[in-house]
Amino acid sequence: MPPGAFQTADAVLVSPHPATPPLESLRRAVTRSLARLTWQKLLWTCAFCMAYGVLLARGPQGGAPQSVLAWLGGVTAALSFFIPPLVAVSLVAPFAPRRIVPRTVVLMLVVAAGVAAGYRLFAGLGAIAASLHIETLRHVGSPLPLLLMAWIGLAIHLFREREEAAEQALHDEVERKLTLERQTSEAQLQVLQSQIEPHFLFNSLAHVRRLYQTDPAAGRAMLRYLSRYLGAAEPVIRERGIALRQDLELAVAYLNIQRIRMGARLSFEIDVPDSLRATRVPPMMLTTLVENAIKHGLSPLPEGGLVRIAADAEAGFVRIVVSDNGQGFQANLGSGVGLANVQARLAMLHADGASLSLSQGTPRGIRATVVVPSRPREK
Amino acid sequence: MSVARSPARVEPVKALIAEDEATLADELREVLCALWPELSICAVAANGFEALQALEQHAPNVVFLDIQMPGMTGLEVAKRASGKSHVVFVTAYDNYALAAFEQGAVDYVMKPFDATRLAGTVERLKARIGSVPANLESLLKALSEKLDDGRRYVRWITASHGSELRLITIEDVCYFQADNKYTRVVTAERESLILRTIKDLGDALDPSTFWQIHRGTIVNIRHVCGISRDYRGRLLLRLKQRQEILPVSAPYAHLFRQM
Repeated sequence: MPPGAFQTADAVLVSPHPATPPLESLRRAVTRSLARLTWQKLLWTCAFCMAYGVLLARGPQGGAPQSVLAWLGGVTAALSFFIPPLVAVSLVAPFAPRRIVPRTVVLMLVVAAGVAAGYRLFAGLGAIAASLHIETLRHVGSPLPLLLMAWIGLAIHLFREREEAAEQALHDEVERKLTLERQTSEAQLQVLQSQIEPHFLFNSLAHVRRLYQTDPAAGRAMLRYLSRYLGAAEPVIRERGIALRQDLELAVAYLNIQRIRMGARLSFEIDVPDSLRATRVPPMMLTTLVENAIKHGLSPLPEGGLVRIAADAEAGFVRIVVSDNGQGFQANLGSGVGLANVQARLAMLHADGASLSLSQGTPRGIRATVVVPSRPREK
Repeated sequence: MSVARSPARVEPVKALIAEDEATLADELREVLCALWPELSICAVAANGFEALQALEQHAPNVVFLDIQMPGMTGLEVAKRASGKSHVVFVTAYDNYALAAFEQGAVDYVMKPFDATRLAGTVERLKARIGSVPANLESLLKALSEKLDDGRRYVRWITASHGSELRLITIEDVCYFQADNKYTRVVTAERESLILRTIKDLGDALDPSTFWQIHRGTIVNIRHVCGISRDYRGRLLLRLKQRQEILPVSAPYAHLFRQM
């Protein structure tokens, strides 16, 4: 038993879901957008503007820039043209549509608005430039070339974005495959381990031996349950799962062994209609859930309790419930691999069509509910 | 004369058996009676509470304690018996327990009971019965740490949503965020609150996947898809399935230096 077993029952906590105030969510959104405005992008834009500044400062007749002041004026002008669209795109990008055509259109419009704003800004700056006698900067001419250049910048941005997304998708897919493989082997190992867990095995053997001395009939029964339970070790690992009927037999064998060991402290009920017994489930699923119920729910209680396995059908799904009236979860952290593995194996067998959830039993205990499709997924 | 020297030999040696599985308790009693006829079994307790009661009531010289018992574990009962009774643990084969016992030099018997091994235990007990039982305080502490479930990292978390208790497997957690006395557990689809401080959690999580990046944030690095710096030079983590961006505070920035 974990040392925290006598602490307050953390699991009974009802979590209030804090609503985020609109101002706060706006602040978060802006922070998120600004975080996309990386130094990298700013530096590239500045470098581009410095080069473009040379072009602007050349004056109407061409030739080299007339002075450093003129060049700085050009850079300032370029920055004022291009920084607004960059900021605008960074701000809008996370909220823009995901599909490429609408996304491009929306972002092009945003860039256009940014350039227009920059152009207006420059009109103000132009007046200052004029007062400083940097005549050339007044002749920027039509904003159209600027817009074109900003759109080219956007195109580069969109291209890189798509490339990154594709890379990410590939990476995710590889990761998913690896995770699945790891979970499969982990699940297989765990099934074997729990079946031949020495503590369980030797305890059961101790019973068999003693019962053969005192009550041979009970000893024979115990040995029969034990060999049925262990005999299942061989065909357990099947990708397509086993019929609920088989898994139930295994769980019942396990329950019978535990009942001999725990005596009057354990009772169990099975309520699974015959019509549902062909449902495909991961091997050892019920045993894992029953084991959990006994280990964490009933075993710590001197008076023990009841384990119930029930199933019913509902609109294409079969619901299988393993419940107990034990002490319930004593902490909301668990290190056992059992539950996590049942979930992983359900996902392997039925993809997203299956689920495992837990709830508090009434008046106490734990209800583990498994929902699986009544027909196996078509391959 | 020997009577004056060790009064314990005059009174019968009293033993308590605490074992929740009745069949095995019977067997142990039988074997002990055969091996040590002078021993008087004063009580057989079926759970930790009964064992404690019997301990107070009978003050036995020897206690045979099953480790896994309902109510209170054998280790907890042993704590009360320490210094008063000679403790012998009873256990079925268990790697962890055996390793712990061997190191701690505690007496133990294994299930299924082996008469020759038990005879050895009885001999040792007879030799020690006149002496003051050892104080097991520090030994038990070390043992319970070894036998504790805490030897493994957290694999799943349960969080209440109304009356439903939701099961979150640790792989699905994107990050944990401190929220006063609670911790927000964030997965791709939803957020849950659990009554645990982030510090508690940090100790129970596998440090190879869960990195603390901020006083109040622990992130699952398998869910991180990118790192960038913002205009203030802070490190920011982007997540695969979440929109939010997590800042890395300065004391933890070194974790990402090599990347």
